[in-house]
Amino acid sequence: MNLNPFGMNSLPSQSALETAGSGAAQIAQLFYVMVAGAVVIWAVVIGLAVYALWRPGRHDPRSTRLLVIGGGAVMPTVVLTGLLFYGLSFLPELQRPAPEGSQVIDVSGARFWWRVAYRLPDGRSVEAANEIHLPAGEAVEFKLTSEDVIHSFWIPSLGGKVDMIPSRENRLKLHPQVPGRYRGVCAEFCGASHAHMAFDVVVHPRERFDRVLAELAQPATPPEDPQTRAGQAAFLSLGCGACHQIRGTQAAGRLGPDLTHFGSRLSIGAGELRNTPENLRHWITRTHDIKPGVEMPAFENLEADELEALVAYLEHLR
Amino acid sequence: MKKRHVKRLVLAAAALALLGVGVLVSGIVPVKASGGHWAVTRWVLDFASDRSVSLHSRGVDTPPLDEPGIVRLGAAIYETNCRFCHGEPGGGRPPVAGGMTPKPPNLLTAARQKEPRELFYIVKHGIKFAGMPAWPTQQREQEIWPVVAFLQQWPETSTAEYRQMVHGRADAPADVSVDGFAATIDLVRRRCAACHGVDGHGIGSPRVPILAGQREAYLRQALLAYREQDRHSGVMMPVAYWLSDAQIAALAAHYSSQPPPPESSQESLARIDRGLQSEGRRWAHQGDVAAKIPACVACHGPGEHSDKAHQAEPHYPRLAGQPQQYLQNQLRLFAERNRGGGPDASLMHEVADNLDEDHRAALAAYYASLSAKDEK
Repeated sequence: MNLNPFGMNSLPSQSALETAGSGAAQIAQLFYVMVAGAVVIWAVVIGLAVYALWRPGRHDPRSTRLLVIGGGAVMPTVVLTGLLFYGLSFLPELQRPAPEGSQVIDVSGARFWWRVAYRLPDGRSVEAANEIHLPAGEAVEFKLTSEDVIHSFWIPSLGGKVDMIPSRENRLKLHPQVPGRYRGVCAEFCGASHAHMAFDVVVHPRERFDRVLAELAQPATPPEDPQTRAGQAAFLSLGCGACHQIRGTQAAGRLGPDLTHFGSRLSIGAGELRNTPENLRHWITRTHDIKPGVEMPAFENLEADELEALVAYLEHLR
Repeated sequence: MKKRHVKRLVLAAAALALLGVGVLVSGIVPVKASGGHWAVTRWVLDFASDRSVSLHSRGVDTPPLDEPGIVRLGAAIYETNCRFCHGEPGGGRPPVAGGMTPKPPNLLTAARQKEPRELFYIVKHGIKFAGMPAWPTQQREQEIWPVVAFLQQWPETSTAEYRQMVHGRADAPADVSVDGFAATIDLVRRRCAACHGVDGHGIGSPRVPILAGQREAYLRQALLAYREQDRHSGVMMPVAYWLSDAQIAALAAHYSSQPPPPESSQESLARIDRGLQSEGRRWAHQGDVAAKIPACVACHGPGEHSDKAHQAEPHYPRLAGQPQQYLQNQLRLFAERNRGGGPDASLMHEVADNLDEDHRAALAAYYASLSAKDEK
């Protein structure tokens, strides 16, 4: 089993300093300014300490008092006030909702995965899970909530994090700039598999994003050969449809991730395993070894051919 | 002076210990059961045992023991697990058990003198050094109460009445389709009919599942699981233990091919709360996303058969027409991890964990209100 979802060379970024969106860039800039200022202040303080130790003779009490009051009270007030206003100056832009007509995406956290729904201009919405596609160079508005406990939505390379709170809708604007793959995570401890609750983010040029969204809006590809047909029959007879939706089939469950285009996803189990047939077999039969506390029961006793067919069917849902 | 005393005492204790070891090693004490106990030993053991049962059974809550069919079910369980040693009501002590020391007590006296909680405690835990075994599993104590209910009726029960209770359903229905082998029917009569009936319609106890029309693969897996002691029941494990693979296959085929009971003979439908039923129907068909409850019908019907190509897995049981109490109890056992079961049973654990007592009651009411006939 390959536990590393993406080979070493193509590890998607999960660093707030490796920025690919304007929110993250501003936050990184604030960070660098603070680091630079902190280095200067640290050097001055250490320099003064060294000077105080080595200077021979008595210190002049008047200049000492000036230094204590000036350096201990006045300077921090001035520096921190400056920093506060500098930080606050970012807020209007970070807080301003995405302009009218921007892509709106609903994301809700559930232990331990992400329900994603892209709002379409005609009022419909396209449901997916555990993977978010975004257009580059445009602001995107997220509506965030939770289905059970408090989660936190964070794509470090694109912007700040926002808590997802049950029965409350929080919002977040992100403005991705650089096409590529990024990793998002849950940033609020939510249970046994909190550390296994991640998602993939793919930023596309606009025209490619439109194509991806149009594909996601399609119902599932019907099975074409005997094996995928058997896989679909197994999916339905095993009761998978009680929790999972595959649009275009009888499976209409709302408890677990939508699987309509499962085969096109980068990973399995919310960023847990790379999406390969071998990993999918593991996931179906040993769910709880991979992700403790997950709601999905492990189907440990599937017949080998039934499992093969099921995996073939799910991977074929592109 | 004092020192001399201590020395003597130590010497005496050492001599006694040596004597004791000598007695043990020599094997001079007879362990034979044929001689019985001395009267004084007997009295001390009985007294100690009575005191222990009386003390330790405090805190056992006795449920109402007047539900329909409970005495008859208790008699049937007694027949499998207890009769070999304790005999029948109104009868004497069976000869093999008569050779035990101590001899299995007269249940007439026990039934009159013991509190229900004491009877429950003895049946559940057994009695050390007395040949009284503990219940075959400690995970299913609810199934002990029918035995207690039956024991309370013991003094008023004649041998003939007992036999009627235990064997009555074995002969009754003449309309049972006897297309199977005579050996299968004989097996059903001897091992199953006292609780389940030859036709699989049960004996009117809401604790016992209706086997008629149940899916064959599920019945086979259930019996195999009982035989391997993977599904826990002090009633079913002892029965299934002696069944061969072929007998299990034959029994599953027999019961699955029986027509389900006509609606009128089902647990009186009027008793099932209407409100509960409709709540249960909603949960069973739609699930509840907020409570993380999947729709039961995806695996257990009804309606899963609407598209013939997509029948549910044959190992998944049908639930329509099962007694409400049986279903509710199974859901509780799943949540407590006390049910066990075949290879697929663990699929129910995550589901059962998200159900509370209201869900269980409503879902059980809904499925009990359905007719198994609609299902076929």
